Amino acid sequence: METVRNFPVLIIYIFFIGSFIQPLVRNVRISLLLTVAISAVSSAASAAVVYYVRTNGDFLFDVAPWSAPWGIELSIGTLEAFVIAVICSVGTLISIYGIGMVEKEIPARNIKIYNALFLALLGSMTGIAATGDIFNMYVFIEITSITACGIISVKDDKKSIEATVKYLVYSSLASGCILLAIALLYGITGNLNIRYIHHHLTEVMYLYPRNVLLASCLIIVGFGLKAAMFPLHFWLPDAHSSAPTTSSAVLSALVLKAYSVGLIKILTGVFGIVVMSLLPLKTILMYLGSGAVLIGSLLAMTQSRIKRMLAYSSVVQMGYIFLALSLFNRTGFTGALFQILNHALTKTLLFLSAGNIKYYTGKESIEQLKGIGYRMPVTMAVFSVGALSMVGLPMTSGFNSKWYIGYGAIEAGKIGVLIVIVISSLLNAAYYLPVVVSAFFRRPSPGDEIQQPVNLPWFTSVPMIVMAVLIIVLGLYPDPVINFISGAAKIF
Amino acid sequence: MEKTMWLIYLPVLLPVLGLVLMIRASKKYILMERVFSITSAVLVFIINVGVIYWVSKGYTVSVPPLKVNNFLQIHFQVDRLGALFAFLASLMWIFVTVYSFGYMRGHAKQLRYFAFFTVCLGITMGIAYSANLFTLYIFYELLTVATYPLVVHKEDKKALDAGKKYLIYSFSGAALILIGMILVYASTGTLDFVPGGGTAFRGALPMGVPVAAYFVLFFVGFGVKSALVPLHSWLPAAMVAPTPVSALLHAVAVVKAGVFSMTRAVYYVFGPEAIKGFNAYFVYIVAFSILFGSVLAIGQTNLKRRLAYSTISQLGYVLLGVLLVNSRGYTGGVLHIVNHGLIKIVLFLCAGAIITRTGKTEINQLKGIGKQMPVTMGIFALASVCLVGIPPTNGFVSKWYLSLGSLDAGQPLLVAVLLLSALLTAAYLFPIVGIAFFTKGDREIQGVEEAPRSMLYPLVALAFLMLASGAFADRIIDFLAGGLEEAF
Repeated sequence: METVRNFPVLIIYIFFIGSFIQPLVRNVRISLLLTVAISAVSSAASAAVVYYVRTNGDFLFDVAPWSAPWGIELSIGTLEAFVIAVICSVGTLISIYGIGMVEKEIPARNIKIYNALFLALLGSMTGIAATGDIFNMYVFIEITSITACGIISVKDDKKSIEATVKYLVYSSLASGCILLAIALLYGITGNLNIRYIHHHLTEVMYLYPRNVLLASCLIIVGFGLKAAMFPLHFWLPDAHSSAPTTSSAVLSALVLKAYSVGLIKILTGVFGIVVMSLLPLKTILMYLGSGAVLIGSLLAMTQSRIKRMLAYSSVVQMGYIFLALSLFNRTGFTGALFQILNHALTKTLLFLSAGNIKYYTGKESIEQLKGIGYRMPVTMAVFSVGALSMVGLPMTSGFNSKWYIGYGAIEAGKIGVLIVIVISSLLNAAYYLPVVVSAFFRRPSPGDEIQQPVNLPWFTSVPMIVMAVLIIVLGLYPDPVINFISGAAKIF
Repeated sequence: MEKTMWLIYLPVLLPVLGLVLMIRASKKYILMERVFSITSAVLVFIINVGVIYWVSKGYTVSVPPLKVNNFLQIHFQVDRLGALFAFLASLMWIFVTVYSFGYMRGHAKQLRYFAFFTVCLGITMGIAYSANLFTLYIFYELLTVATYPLVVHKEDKKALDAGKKYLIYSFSGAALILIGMILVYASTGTLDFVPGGGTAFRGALPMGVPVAAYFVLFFVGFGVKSALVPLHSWLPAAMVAPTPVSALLHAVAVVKAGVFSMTRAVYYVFGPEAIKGFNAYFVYIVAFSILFGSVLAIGQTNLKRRLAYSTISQLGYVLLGVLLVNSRGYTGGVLHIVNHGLIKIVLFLCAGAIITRTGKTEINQLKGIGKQMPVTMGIFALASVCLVGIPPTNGFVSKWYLSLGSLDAGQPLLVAVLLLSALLTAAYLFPIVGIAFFTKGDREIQGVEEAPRSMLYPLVALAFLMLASGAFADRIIDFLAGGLEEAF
C-alpha cells in the first residue's frame, strides 16, 4: 500500500517519458494509441492515489533524497488527489476521442509533435496540482504555458498561429507576474516550500505588509490572466476557438482548471485563512467573479460561432469557481471543487460535440445548425445533456455546483452572490438552449434536408456518451464525490 | 400511518423507460409509439387507483428517500392532495391519449409527439408524489423541458416564438423557486413538506427578512406556471400547440402543476399560520387575475385563445381558495382543480374536434356547426354550463365552497368578484353555443360530419366524468376532509 505514495511523482514521470518517446514512434496510429495507453495508466494510478488519500489521509513525498526545506516535496491532500484524478481521467477520454479526430484536423507531419505536447501538458498540469514547492510550481506553469501554445499551433494555419502568438505573449506576462510574486515571498520568508512560507509568513507579514500585498496582487493578476478571470479573459476566445477540437477541449476543460488549482493552493496554502482575512482578496474575487458570470454570459450571447460561444462560456464557468472561492467557507469551497469537475466534464463534452459537427457537416455557426439533430443524433443528444448541465438544470452535475455555491453564499450572508448565480444561469440558458432548439426543432434550410444520419466510429462516440452519463450520474448521486472533496474544505 | 409501496416509482419511471423501448421498437413496427403510450397511461392509472385506495384508508404511501447530497433528497410520498392530483391527471391522460390517436393522424413527427407526451405523464406524477421541495423543483423544471417539444410541435415561426416565450417565463419562475428553496433551507434546515408548514417559519428568520418576502418568491415562481396575471402571457401564446396538448398541458398538467405546487408551498412549507399574516394582499392580486382573465377572454375571437384566457381566470379561483387559508376555501380550491380540469379538457377537446373536421379556429366561423356536429357542440354547451357554475353542476359546488371560504375569511367583496366572474364566464362561453346552434351556417359548414370515433368517445366519456364529479362532489370533499386537520 505504501508504494502508492510514489504514484503522484510516477504519474508525472510517465507522462513526460511518454512525451519524449513519441518522436521515436514511426506509425501515426501507434503514436495515438500510445497516448491513450499512457493516459489510461496514469488514470489508474491517480485512482489509486485517490483511494490512498481517502483511507490514509494527506501525505508528503520527497522527490529527491533531501527533505523539505531544501529538496522539492509533493504534498498530496484531498484537493491534489482529486484534481490529479480529474486531469488524468478527462485527459484519457479526450485522447480516446483523439484517435478518430486528430488525424483529420492536424497535418500528418505534426501529429507526433501534438501527441508529445499533449502528454507533456497533462504531466505538467499534474505537477502544478501535486507540488508542494512554489518554484517547482512555477516551472510546471511554464511548461504548461508552452505546451498549451504548442497544441494550438499544431494546426499550422494562419489563424491558429496568430492566436498562439497572442496567447504566448499574455501567458508570458502572467508568468512574469507569478515569478515576481514568488521572488517577493522568497525575499521575506527565505523559503520556497509552501508549508514553510506559510509558517514564516504569519510571523513576518507585519514587518513587510507591502511586500505581502504586492505579492498577493501579482498572484491574482498572474493566475487570473492564465485562468481567464474576467476582465483578463480577452485572449481566451481566439486561443480556444481556433485550436483543433481536442486541444480546445484540453485548454478549456483542464488547463484553466490547473491554473485555478494553482491559485487555490497559493491562496489557501501560502497565505492561509489568517492572511486572507487581512487582505482584500475575497472582495476582489467576488466582484471579478460576478463580472465574469454576468458579462461573460452577455458576451457569449452575442457570438455566432459555436466554438467562440463555448469559449466565452468557459469564462463564465471559471467565474463560478472564483465566486465560490471568494465565499471562503466550507460549502462554497466544496462547490468550487465540484465545479472544477463539472466544468471539466461538461466543457469537454461540448467542445468534442462541436468538433464532430464541424468535421462531419462543415458547419460552424449556430445559425447553420437547423435540423442537425436528426443528422447527428448522438452528438446533439450528448450536446443537449451538456447544455442542460451548463444551465444548471436539476439532475445534471451543473445543478449541484450551483446549489453548493448558492448555499455557500447564503451561509456567508451574501444573498447578492446567490442572485448573481441565478441570473447568470438564466443567461446561460439564453445562449445554450437556442443551439439545442435549432438542432431539433427548426426545419433545415433548403438544400440541407435529405441527409442520412452520420455513423460515428466507436472511439468517437463512446467517450462522449461516457461523459454524458457521468454528468447525469453526478447530478443524481454526487454524494461520493462530495464526501471526498469536502475533506479538502476542512481547512475552513 | 405510513405504508411503503415501491410500486410508486413505476408511474414516474415507466413513461421514461417506455420511451426507450418506444424509440427502439418504432423503427421496426408501425404505430408502436401508440401502443406504448396508451399502455403506460393505463398502467399508471391502475397504480394510482391502488394508491388512492390506500390513501383513503388513512395511510400515507411512500418510499424511502434517495440521498442526493448532504442537503438534498429525492423523496416520493403520496398524501391525499397528491393522490387526488395524480389520480385526476392519470385518468385524463388515458382519454387524451386515445383522442390524440385521432387528432394526430397525418401529422408529422408522431414518434416525438407521443414520446414527450408520455414522458410528461411521468413528470406530472413526480410532481404529484414529491415529498419535499427539492423533488418538486426537479420535476417542475423537467416539466418545462419535456413540454417544450410539444408546444413547438408545428416547428413554424409562431410555434418557435411561443416556445421561446414559454421557456423564458418558466425558467425565470423556476429561478425564483431555486432562490426561495435555498433561503428556506437556510432558515429552517429542511425542505420536507410538513402538513401545517415548517415550524421555524413561525419564529424569527435570519437576516431580518420578513416571511412575506420569502413567500413572494414562491408566489411569483409558481405563479408563472399558474398563469397568474400579469405572468400569464405565455399561456395564450402556447395555444399554437396541437389541441390535445393544449387540453392536457394547459388545462391539467402544466397549469395545475403550478397551482398544486402553490398549494404545497402555502400549506406544507409556510403553513397557514405564517400565511395568515399577509394573505390579504395576495388574495387581491388573485381576484384581479380572475376578473382580468375573464374580461380578456371576452375580447378573443380565436376559440382556443378564448379558452386559454378562461383558464387564466379559472386558475385564479383555485389560487383564491388556497390563499384564503381556511378549510372551506381550501376545499373549494382543491375541488376546483378537479372540476376545472375536467371541464376545460372537455372544452378543449371539443375545439380540437372542430379543428380536425373543419380547420376553423375563429369563433365567428362556427356558424351553424351545432347542427353538423350535435354531439360535440352539445357537450360544449354542457361544459359551458358547468364552467359558469349553474347548480347542480360541479362548477357550482366548488364556487359555493369558495364563496363560503371568502365569507369565513371576512371578505364579502370576494363573493361579489366570484359572481361577477361567473357572469363574465357566461358572457364569453354562451355566445359560442348560440352561434353554433342558432345561426345558419354557410355552405362550407354544411358538409361537415361529426368527429371521428377515436376522438368522440373520449370526449363523451370525459363529459360523463364531468357530470359525475358534480354528482359525487361530496365523496371528493370527504376524501379531502381527511387531510384537513393535519394541514391546519
